[in-house]
Amino acid sequence: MTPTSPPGRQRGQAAVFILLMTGMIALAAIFLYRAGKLTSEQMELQNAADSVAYSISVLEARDLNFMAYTNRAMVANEIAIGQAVGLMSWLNHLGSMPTFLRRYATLLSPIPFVGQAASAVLNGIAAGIEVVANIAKQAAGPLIAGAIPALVAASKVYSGAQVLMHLATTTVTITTLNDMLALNAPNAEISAFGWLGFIAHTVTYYSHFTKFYGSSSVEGMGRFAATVNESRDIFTRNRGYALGLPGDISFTAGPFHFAMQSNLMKVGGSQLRFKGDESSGKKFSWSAADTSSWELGIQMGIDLGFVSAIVDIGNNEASVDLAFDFGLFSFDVGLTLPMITGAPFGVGTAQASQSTNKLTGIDMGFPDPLPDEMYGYAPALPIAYYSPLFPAFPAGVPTAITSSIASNKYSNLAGLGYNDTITPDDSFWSFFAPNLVIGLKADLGDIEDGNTAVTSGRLQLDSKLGNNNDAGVIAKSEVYFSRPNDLTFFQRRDSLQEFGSAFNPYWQARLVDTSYGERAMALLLQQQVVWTGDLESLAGSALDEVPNISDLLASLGLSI
Amino acid sequence: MTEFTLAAAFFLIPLFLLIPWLGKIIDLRHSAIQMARYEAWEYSVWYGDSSQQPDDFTRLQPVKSFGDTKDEARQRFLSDTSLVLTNSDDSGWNAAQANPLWHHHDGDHIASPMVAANLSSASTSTLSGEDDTPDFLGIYTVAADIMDFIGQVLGAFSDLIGAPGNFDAINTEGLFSTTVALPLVDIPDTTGNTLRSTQMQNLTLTSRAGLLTDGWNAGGMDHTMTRVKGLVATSLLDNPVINVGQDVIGIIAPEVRGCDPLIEILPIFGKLDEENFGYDVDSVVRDPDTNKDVGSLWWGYVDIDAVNPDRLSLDEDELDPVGESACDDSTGVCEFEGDDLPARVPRILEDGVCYYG
Repeated sequence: MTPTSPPGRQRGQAAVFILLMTGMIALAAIFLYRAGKLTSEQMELQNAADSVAYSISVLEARDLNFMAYTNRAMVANEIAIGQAVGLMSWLNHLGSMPTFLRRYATLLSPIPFVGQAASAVLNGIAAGIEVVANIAKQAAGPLIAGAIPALVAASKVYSGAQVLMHLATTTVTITTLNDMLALNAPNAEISAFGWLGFIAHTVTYYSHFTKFYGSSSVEGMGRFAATVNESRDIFTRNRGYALGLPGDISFTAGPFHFAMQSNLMKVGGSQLRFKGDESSGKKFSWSAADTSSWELGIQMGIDLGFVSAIVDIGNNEASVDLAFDFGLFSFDVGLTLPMITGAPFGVGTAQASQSTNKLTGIDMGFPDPLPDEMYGYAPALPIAYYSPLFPAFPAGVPTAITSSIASNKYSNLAGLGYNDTITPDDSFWSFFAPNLVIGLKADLGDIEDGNTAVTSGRLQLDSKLGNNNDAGVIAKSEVYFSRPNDLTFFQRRDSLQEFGSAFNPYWQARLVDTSYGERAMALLLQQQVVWTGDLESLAGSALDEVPNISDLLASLGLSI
Repeated sequence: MTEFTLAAAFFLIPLFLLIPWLGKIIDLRHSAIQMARYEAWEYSVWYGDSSQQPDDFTRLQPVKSFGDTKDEARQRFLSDTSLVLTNSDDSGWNAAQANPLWHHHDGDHIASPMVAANLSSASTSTLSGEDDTPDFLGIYTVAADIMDFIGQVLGAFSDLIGAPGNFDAINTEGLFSTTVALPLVDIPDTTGNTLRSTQMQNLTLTSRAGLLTDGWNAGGMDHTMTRVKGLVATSLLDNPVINVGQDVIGIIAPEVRGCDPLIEILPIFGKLDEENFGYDVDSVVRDPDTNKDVGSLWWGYVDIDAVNPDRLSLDEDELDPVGESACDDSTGVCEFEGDDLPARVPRILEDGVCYYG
């Protein structure tokens, strides 16, 4: 009988098991430690990259919004100058009225009783207006003359501050980049890819995305002047009134009809205009004109059935229309002749300019008239505006315009420079401003490349450290413009959608998705890993980032 | 068997227990990182306190105190991940809802939590305010301070005389930073457990984050106008005394009336139309919606809708410019042009500002 071991009693060496278990558990613990540290470092690194990218875009949003505030302030200062010039013109107009009234009084005085009485009234009104106008001009004149250079100086300060802020943003960007790294991930540094993205962004931000227009820039100052002209208030655009006068008549008796009406009309406006051509540089100056005149309108007509006649007098012309109707045939004949249908009551002008580009009578429309809509339709009242038509009266615009206010104190937009942006859609490539792609890397020290141990097979990790054993991340941000029309307090009243410019402070920063192309390039430059994944997607993505090429291919009937 | 028992008791089991414990530490570390990011990034959309808010902004402004943010961070990142985010997360951390995974090896996260139940927001985070924007050379701050000074001077005058305008966009601070520290509770030693490690004592998981915020953007049309008017000296003329003066003179001189005048002009003033006189002359221009008189002379007028038409589009998604700016060499006038450019008419905005819109 073979002796057997007692049941339940086992013998053997536990050391093998313990060693195996120890190795496995230790491996798991080490893996966990490394994975934990790797993910923690990656998280902090990603936070740092996000923070760097976002913070730099915030600085650029500040820069663009600062441009917008100062650009708008410069435009508003120009409007204030236009108002000042307009006010001076308006006062000059008021001051000219006594001369016109006294002239009419002299013409009426030979008429017994009625004419003499009217003459006395007109002289009295003239004296009253003269006193008021003189006081107003003496009080307002020096203020206006002093205000214009002050406003010009303020605009130059804003322009200078804007340029300084724009340049200073570069220095602060670099400082911020370092500070954000130190605050978020002190052991991180900008990778080669990161520097490429940062430099590409910075160069294009200053050379492409934003553009400086100096006062010698014909295009830039034209854009600025157009914005100023569009920003005028009613007073500078079209200040006027219509004064109904007693004596309107209208009656019809049988086939006859007669109507007569008269009005005193006052119009005026201020205009920012350039004088000179492109070769000599466009010098802008403010000028204003105000005119008033009494305008008469008469309509007479007779209708006898087979023939009708209408006489229309007004608007500085007289017209006669005859219409014949004999049943079997009918025809019309008409004749229109120029005719003075009104009388001037006042004219005033003013300008703020340099002596070198002072507007003359020729500039103000002689001998070639200006379009009616200029100066708030002042040229449309020719009886007052073109006083040579009425030589007996005081010279009108051509003479008046030669007197200017604040001579040589308005700098014609000289010395004013401003920045504007292109529209972001024009950005050529995603590395260019307003986009910013940042790449960071960090040496993880004791964390070795997890992939070196398992380089193939099912345990191979997709995500790994770079061949340089650095952890690497990328982040992308952009500065963008948003004026939402669905929020009433942002909404444009004309319902147009506004896109970005440096004239409204609605620039903000945000993080945006990176593209395949950026990620592949980051892998190559930052972690020295050649990505061989979805090449088709990469190609598509890369071409998507060059919209012109995609559009070109599409236009040729080709697709990717 | 003996050696196995000994090895298991003193070597394998502790090593085995190390793995979940390490996992929890890593999990806590991740939460600390997220808390730091959360605390700093919250101030990309919130103001820290009312003193940071822009003046003269009439609508509700987003303000979240630093205490609330810290409480939210604790509640949202140290609690059971199955809990949904609520508005009351800022009322303080509910330790009973602590992440149930974060307990020591006795299996009870209440009795032996890894994060102390009485963890105060002050002890976990240094978030306390905003710092200066990094500016090594100081040029940036000088440029900003020049404009800030002008804005403050004009703003003080505006306040004094009741005129609109306050340029307060400049904020040379805006840097928010925080360091989150999560001190871990020692492994309990209620049973004389030899697993207690003195190395656990004072173990604190820290993470930090920083972010520059405040892009100086405006919060709407009225806010933009208020800020820009704060840089335009003639805005000071838009005050009650001068407005009344304009209204009085405007009785007989309609062109000099200010916005929304209190006094009507004399009834002898009227309107002439284009049919009779070749163009329109209107003594009183009225808001097409409210029929209010918009006046004529608007001191300190700022028109933020006057934007070059190459930046305006009928299509809200893609820029299809409605026009461009062009200069006429014969008249010397530069204007916006475009077939799709709508005519803008004077009107009075909700806040009483006269405006071409």
